[in-house]
Amino acid sequence: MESEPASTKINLLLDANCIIYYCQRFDETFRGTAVQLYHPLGELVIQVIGPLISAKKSVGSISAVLSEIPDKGAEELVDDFICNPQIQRILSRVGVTSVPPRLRERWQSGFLKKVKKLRNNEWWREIDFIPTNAELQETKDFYRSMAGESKMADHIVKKGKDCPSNEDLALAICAKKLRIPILSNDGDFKKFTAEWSGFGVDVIPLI
Amino acid sequence: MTLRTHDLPRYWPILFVLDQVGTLRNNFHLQKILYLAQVEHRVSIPYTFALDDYGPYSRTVKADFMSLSSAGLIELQYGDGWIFRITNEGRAVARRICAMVDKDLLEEFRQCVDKWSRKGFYELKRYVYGKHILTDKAYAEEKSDLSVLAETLISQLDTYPTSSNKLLIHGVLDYAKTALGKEKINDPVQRNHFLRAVARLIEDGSAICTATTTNPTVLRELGLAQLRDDFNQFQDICEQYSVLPSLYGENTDLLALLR
Repeated sequence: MESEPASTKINLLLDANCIIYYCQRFDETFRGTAVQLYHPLGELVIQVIGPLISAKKSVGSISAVLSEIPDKGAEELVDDFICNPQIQRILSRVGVTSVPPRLRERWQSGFLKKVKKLRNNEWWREIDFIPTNAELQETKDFYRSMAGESKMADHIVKKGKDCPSNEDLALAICAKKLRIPILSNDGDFKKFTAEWSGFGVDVIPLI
Repeated sequence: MTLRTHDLPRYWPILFVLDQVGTLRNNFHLQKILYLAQVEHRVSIPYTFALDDYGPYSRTVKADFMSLSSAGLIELQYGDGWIFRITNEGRAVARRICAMVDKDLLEEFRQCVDKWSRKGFYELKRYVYGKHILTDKAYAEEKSDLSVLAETLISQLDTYPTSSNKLLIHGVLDYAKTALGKEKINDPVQRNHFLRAVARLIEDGSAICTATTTNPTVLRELGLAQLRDDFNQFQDICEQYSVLPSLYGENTDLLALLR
């Protein structure tokens, strides 16, 4: 019997961080021992989207967020991945004390391929969504209206900018228009879930 | 330029050469044209050449032209050396295969055939021996020079801002330098094949570093298709001569890449 296809309606949108964590998963062999290298937050993403996928629901994001990922600096992403204590533990267990550039490039290439291959998954949906200038401005105005709050002041200092990227704003606008929640580990979203909810955007913090 | 031709039948370069020239006298010429296409023209020729009495030679080329003759795609005559002639059926097969091949690759291959098929035996032999059969000393010196250049470029890249492209070039140069250190190929023809490929790769890296010296931030905007193509070919060569496993291979034991 053919399996039932996943729903065409998207049930959850992922932000760039969640896509990155999900895609940083590599099956490798060291000295004949199979090991799985994965970002611990990728496990949390799987815990959230796994039941949706099992229930034939769809998960996705907007094209702009996916296009932004290589530009985010895949080199830094690989460095962050390698420096993660869990990855360090696995690597040292198999006797790898330092990771040479050729291996970092292997994982960068593998990671970027996984991002590209997301669309091969039956449950994955990608939306070509471009907000209008008015929608972008409205969302920026909403975000900047929180500037007086102390937690926003702290956040701006930490992040070094007073507004999310255009890709994240577009994701929020898409979520609002299509009434789809966003799974996010980005402070721009997860630190202000109540405020975003008031604006019409449901944010599910990854942690 | 995409130069990978893994999905084509192995004999395709033989048919291509004969489709270009119609008739070719001498196995020597066929072997050397295919060899030069492989080492000088960035064409993925799926034959492994080794040093023989008359320079670079592949037994598989001979096996394949015999099979092509049995299949009626070429005619073979043996008099004062082999004479190869493509049949109408062979021409039709060659054209069908070529329709699937990248146009830039075909043009590169066409220029190679045009250039070398006109040369006489002695001229071709002199060229191949003079340029492609290195002495041990010359080989060691070239390897050492390339290793130093790769190291210099890696140091230059260390000062660049992080980007996906920077890590790619860094990884490519590091892989090339590691391959230079691990290579233990004995056959002079195969050593030359390896050396040419690694030189091309490091020259790609050098050209990119030179072009971005004054403004390293533009590196992230570059396409780097040539570097990727050359790197893919180089990984194939490293696997072919058991120097290093492919960097992107799925079942690679990473120990071999780490040592």
